[in-house]
Formats: sequence, C-alpha cells, structure tokens
Amino acid sequence: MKTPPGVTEADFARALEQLAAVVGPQWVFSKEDDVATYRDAYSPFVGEAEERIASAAVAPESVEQVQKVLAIANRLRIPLYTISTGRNLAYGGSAPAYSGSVILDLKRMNRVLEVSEEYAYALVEPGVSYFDLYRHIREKGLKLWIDNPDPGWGSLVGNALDHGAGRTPLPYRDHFDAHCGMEVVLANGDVVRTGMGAMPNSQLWQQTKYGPGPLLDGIFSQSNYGVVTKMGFWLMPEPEASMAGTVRLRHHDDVIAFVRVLSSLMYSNIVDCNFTVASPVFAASADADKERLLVKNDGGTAQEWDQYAAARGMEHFWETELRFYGPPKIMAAKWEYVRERFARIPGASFADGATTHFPLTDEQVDAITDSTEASFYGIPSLGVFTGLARGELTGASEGIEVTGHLDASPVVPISGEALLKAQRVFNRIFHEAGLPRGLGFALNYHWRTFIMFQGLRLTNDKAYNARVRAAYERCMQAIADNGWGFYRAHNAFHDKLMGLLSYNDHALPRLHSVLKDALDPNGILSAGRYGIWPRHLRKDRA
Amino acid sequence: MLQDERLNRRRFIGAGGIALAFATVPVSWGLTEESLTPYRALYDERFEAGLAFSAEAGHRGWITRAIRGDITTVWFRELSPRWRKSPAMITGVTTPQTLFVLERLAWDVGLRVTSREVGTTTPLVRWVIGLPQAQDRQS
Repeated sequence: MKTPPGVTEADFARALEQLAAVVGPQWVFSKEDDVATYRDAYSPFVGEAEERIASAAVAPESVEQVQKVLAIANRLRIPLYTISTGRNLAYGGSAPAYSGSVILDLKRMNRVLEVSEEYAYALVEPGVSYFDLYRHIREKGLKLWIDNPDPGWGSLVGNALDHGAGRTPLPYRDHFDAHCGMEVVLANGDVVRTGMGAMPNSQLWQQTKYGPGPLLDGIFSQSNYGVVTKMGFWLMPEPEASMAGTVRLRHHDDVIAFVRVLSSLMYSNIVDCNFTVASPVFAASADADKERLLVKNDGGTAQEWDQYAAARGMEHFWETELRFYGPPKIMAAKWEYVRERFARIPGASFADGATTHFPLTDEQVDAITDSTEASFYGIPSLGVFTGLARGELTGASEGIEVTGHLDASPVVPISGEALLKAQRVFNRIFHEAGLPRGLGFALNYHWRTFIMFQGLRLTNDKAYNARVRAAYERCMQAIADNGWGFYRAHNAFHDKLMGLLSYNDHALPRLHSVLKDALDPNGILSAGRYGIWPRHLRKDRA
Repeated sequence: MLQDERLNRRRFIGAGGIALAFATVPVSWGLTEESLTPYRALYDERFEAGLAFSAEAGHRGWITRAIRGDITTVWFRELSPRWRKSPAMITGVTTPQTLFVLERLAWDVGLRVTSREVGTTTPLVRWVIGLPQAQDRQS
C-alpha cells in the first residue's frame, strides 16, 4: 500500500481506520485493485515514476461526512484530492496532482436536489452526472434542457468548476457562467453558501448570482480552496425547434471577413449557438503538395492554398454550420438576416439544414448516433469516448498503439487572422515534434473567443510520450508568447501553466498562495491543483 | 468453489467457433453458479465475431443487445437503471474502446472486468463484467 508523502504508515493506517468509521469500511478504498481505478487512463507519464498515483480513496455521501473527513485529514495531515466523478480524461481524470494523495471521491453525493421548471434551474450535488440530470428531467416530463459536454458521463459540478462547455446556446453552454450559487465545505469544516444562499430561507439562491459583498464563486473553480458540495445551474427552457444552416466561403483569406461578420453577429446575440469554423481543404487527407506548403515558414500563402484547393476541385475553403433555436418564424428571420450579412462576401454560399421539433420521443433520441449532434440538443452521450482512437496506431512509420490523448486547448481571439496564425504556430510545433497535426478548425465554446483544440495522442511508449509532453509544453509556451489564453490543462502541467502568469512578478499566483494559506493552512485539499500548493510543499518548488 | 468457477467458465465459453478467435489472457473469471446468466450480452454488429457471439448468446437464452461501438442507448435505457438497483453481471464482444467506457461505468458500482479475452483474428475483445469476489477467492 502506498503511503502519502510525509505521513507515517502508522498515521495512515489510523487515518484509514477513522475514515472507515465515518463513511463505512466499504467506502474506503486502499486495496491495490481498487486504488488502480483512480489512475489516469490518459496519463502522459504512464508507467513512469512521475505518474500521479493515489494512495487510497474515500467516498462520503453527505456534507456532514465530508466535514468529518476533512477533520481527520487536518488532524493527521493527510493530503486529499477531490473529484466529482473523475471523468475529465485528457485533463488528469481521477488521478491527483500530488502523488500519494487520498482521493476524496464525491460520486455518492449524487442527488438532484431541486429542479424548478418555472424558474428554469437545477440544484445538484457533485456526483450528479449529465445523464442523471437528463434522466430526471425526462422522467418528470419537464420542459427544460440540460447542456452537456460531448461525453455525458461527467459531473455538472466538476465540469463547471473546470470551465467546461457544451453546445447549446449561450449562456447555458458555458457551464461555470451558467451556474448560480454554490455550497462549499472549507478546509476547516465550515459550510459556506455563496450569493443569496448566505441568507437563510433565500428564495433567490439559484436566481441571482449577486449578493451583498464580494462574489467568491470564482475562487473555487480550477482551484483547491474548498470542497464544493452543491451547485445551482440555470437551464434552458426547451425550445420549440432548432434549425441549421451552413455558410461556405471560397477562398483562403475569406476567413478574415467571415469571422468578422460572425463575431459581430455573436456580439449582437443574433448568433448564440456553438459553431466551428472548419476548412474542408485543411481537413482533407494530407498529400505531398499539402505537406510542402505546411512546412514552409509562412505556412503557405493564400494564393498557394487557393491554387492547391482549385487543383483538387475543392469549391469551398471554409464552412460553418450555424444553429438557431426557438419558434420557427424567429429562427427563419435570423437565418435570413445572417445570410444577408454573409452575402456581402463575394462567393459566399448557403445551405439550409434540417429543422427539428421538440420534444423528441425516446425513439428519436435513440436514433441520434452522433454525439456532437446529440449535444446540440442537450442530450448526453458516451459516443465520443467509444469513438476515440484508443487501440489504433500512431502512424504507419511508428505503429505504436494509441492509449489516450492530451488536449492542448489554446484560446485565441475570435478573428480570422488569429485563427490562421494559431494554425501556423501549432502546425510548426507538431511538425518539428514529428507528431500528427490537427488543422483548420476553431470553435466557440465561450463568449468572444475561439478554442482551437490540439489533440496529442498518448501511448505506452515512454520515448513517444516524452515527445508528446515536450510538444504540449511548447504549445503552452507558444500560447503565452502570442498573448493567447488557456481553457484548461492536464494536471501534470499545472505548474508550467501557472508559471506563465508572470505579470508583475507572478502577482496572481502569489495571491493564490495567500488565499491557500489562509483557507487551508494545513494544505489538505488537492495540493498542486492548478499550480496552487500549500506552504509546506511550495518550499520544494521554489 | 474454484473448481466450480472453472467449470462455469468452460460452460460459458463452450466449444463453439467463437472461442477460437480469442486468446485468453491470464485474468480471473467472474462467473459464479448463481450469476451464470448475464443481465445483458452486448455485441458489436459491425463485426463477424460480434454476430457469432450474438448467435451463441441467443442459443444460450441470454438477452442480447446489438451496438455499433457506442453504448449510450443500452447504457441509458437498461444498464444504468439496473445497476442503480444492484450490480449485475454483463458480458459482450465489443471493441476495446467500448469496453474502456463500460469498464469505467462498472467501477462506479463496484463491478470489475473479470475476464478479458483479446481477439486474435478480430479487433474485438470478449469480456465479462461482474463482481470481483471471484477474483479474491481465486487469489
């Protein structure tokens, strides 16, 4: 049995005994087989000494049990690492940032506490998955939608705290932005409710984010200042219908005017859907001419790319599908206006998509086999992970079995120029690392920005994974060098990530440390998460 | 008990052609006499090995479900509600990706992959997800 760093075997045995007395012995996991279920299936350090591995896990079922677990951890200095459902694969999964931590697994706290159809919100515990809330709403026949990420097995609370997103209209798909009110157990056992939840018998905890005084919710996201035990979420009323329409542009540089119009429509709330700016030309299989252009220092000129596309009979360089939700006549009016705006770009063309009316029957839901399409309708799916490349090979030249992936998730300005530049930058990094690249797509999860996911495949081969890690770090540095942003990162890279926040001698990370020392003086909560370390562990990292 | 489980295993695999497509890896077997009938038998209908397993499972009277990689529907409609009541053994012949997802969902209710047979002439895996006690007894 692994023992947490700095904890004697005797103290650890005592801790496990006391934890068992609180939650029941069947909910304390210390056998190797059980603890192995908390390993990160997509660890970039798999099989290496640096892999973050838990020592044990404990699964409380109530706030009171969480308080008692924290008291034991404080008393015996046991490092805990909190997970909700532990499904954030590619970002660390259920493995701790600090090896040897005991996983505080909140999966048993899986109650849907309240769903208001009238006020369109839900209040849930951290173990509630998107499937759970979706089932609750379907079974009760409520006219509400959830918003889920493509994989629906994760926790609403965990995903929101990690700034996750889905595909229905804003603000609902920005999961932290769509939350309203939370309950947090602090390291000292105090239970705090944010916003109007601080007032007993509040009628507005899930209705207004504001309350008197500072708004503190944000400090509990991507952090380790407390254990979030409840969160409220605004839900979207079920729309009458949804329709899709596709805009296509002919030339490489059309993307600049295209995104300018698109962003204007978004800022005006005329387009509020999740969309992807995709390029059929870049997305098509590579050939020798494409490789020649891609490895040029300038990544190929617009003229060269247009010639490349024309030589292959590709009529459209860019395309984006937009979705509208609501009454059909309003959707039609929006789509008509959107077409008018884009029609000013020479060569723009349009295609009307299907209109889907709601509610869907169970048979209609089951007939949706594409997980992305399901997400557009707030329907959770497992398809994305069954469709990933696990078990495939990295490439003909190496033929190493793929076991997982990392996502470098750069956030870039919502402009065509930034999209093209980011593509050139990341293409160069991947090329120099000898890794397969993803090209030509940018999507808008959050307001006013693009995310350009850069997937890096992992294997069980240490040398290959070392190349992947180096490329991942180069991506992070390139993001900082270009003044772009970060969505989230795998927990093996949190220190590197936070080290890039260097304005005014790292003033923000220093403030994080001040907060950590004040709220968690013994450093029992999720040490190292997002580079926030307790005082006694910061010394080793100075 | 160990002898019984080995007997069960032979009965489960049978001597059919499907077994020849898989090389058994050395993992414990999760079937016990009382749980010999799986709650559901899943097969990936895109592959011949999956269809062959379906025929074998049907012959044994098991309730089968066809999938095409994704297990969302069978998970949401059947496995999740069943496992919320109590863990129940399931088996199948699917891709490794499908098993990857199912295995993690099974962990949440205390189930484990108790048998995992890698295909030798098929990309599929033949597996059993059941209670882990049988492993303990064998060790």
